[in-house]
Amino acid sequence: MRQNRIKPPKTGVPSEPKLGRMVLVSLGLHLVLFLLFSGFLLPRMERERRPVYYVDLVNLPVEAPQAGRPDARKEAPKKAEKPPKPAVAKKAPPSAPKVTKKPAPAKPAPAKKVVKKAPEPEESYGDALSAIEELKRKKEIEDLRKRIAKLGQEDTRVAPADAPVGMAEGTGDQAGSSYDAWLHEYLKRAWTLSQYQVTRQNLEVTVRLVFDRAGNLVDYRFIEESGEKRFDDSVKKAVLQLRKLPNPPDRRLEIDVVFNLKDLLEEKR
Amino acid sequence: MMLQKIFLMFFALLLLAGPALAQIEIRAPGQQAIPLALTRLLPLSGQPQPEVAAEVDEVLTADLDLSGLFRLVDPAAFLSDAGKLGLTSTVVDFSQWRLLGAEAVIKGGYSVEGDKLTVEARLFDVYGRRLLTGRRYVGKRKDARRMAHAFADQVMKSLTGKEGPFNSRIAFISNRTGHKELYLMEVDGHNPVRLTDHRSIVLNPDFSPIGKELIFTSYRAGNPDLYRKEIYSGQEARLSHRKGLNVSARYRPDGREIALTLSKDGNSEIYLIGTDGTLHKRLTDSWAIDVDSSWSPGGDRIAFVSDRRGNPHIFVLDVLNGSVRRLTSTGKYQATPAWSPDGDRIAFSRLEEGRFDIYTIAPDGTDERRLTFGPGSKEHPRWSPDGRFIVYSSDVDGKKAIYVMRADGSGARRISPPGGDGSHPAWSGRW
Repeated sequence: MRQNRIKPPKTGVPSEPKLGRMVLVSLGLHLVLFLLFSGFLLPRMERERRPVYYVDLVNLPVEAPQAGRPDARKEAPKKAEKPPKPAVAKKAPPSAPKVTKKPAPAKPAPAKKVVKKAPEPEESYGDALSAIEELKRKKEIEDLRKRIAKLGQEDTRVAPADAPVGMAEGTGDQAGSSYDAWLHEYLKRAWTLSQYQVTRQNLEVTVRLVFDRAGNLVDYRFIEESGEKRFDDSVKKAVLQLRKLPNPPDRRLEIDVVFNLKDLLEEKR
Repeated sequence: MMLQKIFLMFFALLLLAGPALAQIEIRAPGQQAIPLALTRLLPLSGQPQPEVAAEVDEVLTADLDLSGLFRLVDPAAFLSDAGKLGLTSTVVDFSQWRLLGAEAVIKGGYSVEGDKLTVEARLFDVYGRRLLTGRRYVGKRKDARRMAHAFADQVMKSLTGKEGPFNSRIAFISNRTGHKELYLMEVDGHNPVRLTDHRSIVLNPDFSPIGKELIFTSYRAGNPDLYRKEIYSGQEARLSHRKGLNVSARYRPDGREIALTLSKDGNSEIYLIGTDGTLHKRLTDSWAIDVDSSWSPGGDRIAFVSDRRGNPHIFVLDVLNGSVRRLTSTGKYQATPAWSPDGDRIAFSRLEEGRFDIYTIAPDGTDERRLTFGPGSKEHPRWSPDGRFIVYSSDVDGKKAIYVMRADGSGARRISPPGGDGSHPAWSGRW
């Protein structure tokens, strides 16, 4: 049986597309976008992502870092507590007598020397001057040593004292750096490779690191190898230095780490 | 129904994509030199002779420092393990070395019995707690330096896969006797030995790639003729004494032929001769001056200097088909090309503002790099057999002397002993 269809009158206005067609078009567009950004269509398109990390390994990694600086001092108020330390300096007086005591046993000896050197008063005067100079010099050296020791104990990190410990993009509420940033800093420090060990510098390795909830490195595998054994071995050596994260992440943590020599290449250009 | 299927497919795609893994990129190693602890040799038996240990230590330190591979850990920081003779990985206290930040440690011992010297040296991987390489050398007391050079080569091989060049020799020309004569020395400039007594002018030495002999030009007979000299027997022969120039001779890498510049027909051209001096082939044919040939490692091409386009430039000649290609285009005066053993670079000197400096360029004429800067003329570059270093002459200190630097221009240091000028160096193959 044939059914006669009634054609709608031509008005000049295009009819609205159906829902299914619209969904199809939308899906198509999303698919194209997905393919474009996933790199399937443009696999060689370089996306220069050069994040800047500056993490102090003293600040432990946390799950949800707050906004702040990863290299900041964790306990800024402690500085205020330091002034009472001069109390230690009060211990100095007991040591002072020691200084005075020391010359005491030496006294008999100078007496003898003075007798011997009596015919040459000028020399003894010169000796006294040089002794004073020597004492001054010793004191200066001692002061310098103290200052160096003090510098060694001081926290010389450049971050301002009032900056909270966190990450620049941190949105959490925990004081510390992110695991990514901490791992970056740790692995970079642990990675040793001389440019004279490799025959070319366009080498790259990707390693997948797997940590359990307690922070133990339970697995690592090379997703991509460089093809140059010395390079791969140096990366493996760096990875194996990292047995455990300093803070357990409380979840299984999987992270891909790319090792390459791009900065060395740039330095040469 | 259709719509439902589309939605299902879309969500399936999303699920397949999975959660994106975090990724971090490390663009350069944190430590670009291997922290190495070099301990002093300890006596294995017999009477201790600290001067032996000191000599080996001095040579190893200099060689490993020149390599650029290492950062030597300060011996003042060494702990008790440095004082213990540990030649096996089970005996070495690696935790001590790890504490000092060392990633590799060299330990060893020696014994002297009369004039017989035995040296045992080991390289350990601190983190891997294992032996990387070990050698036992037996020789005379005077061989201590040679043993140290040989072990430095092994250390390089172990950590880079390619043996070092330290146990080889450098020939050079010096006028310390008042005449320009041919000398031979160790790669750090020690033990220079005079090889010729021509009392004339000796120039441009080149080592045979297959035997311990050298070719060079000498004016002994009044004409610049080509000579060959066996180093150990001292036997010498005049190889080419054609009229005019017999200069800038270079062995083909297979050692069977020699390329040299002759001017027997008036103009200087490059020829190929046999090791017995017989003429094999004329390689260039130009009105211009063609000199300073240097073979590619494959022996199929020659880099040379010619002024056929005006100023002296570097050209590359295909020995098989005779075609010539210009290599350098900038600069007004180029000289003495030297093809690297790997074949990937050609070193040469360029005159600019009244002084020579050393450059390298890729054999296709791209990627030209200047290696030397500052006062003084740097000339006559020649490669080490492993391609890591370049030896050259420089008058930066007023007098011409022999210097060595890494192939990237870093680590330059004078090696020739004081006294007289030093020039025209040539680096031997493995000795």
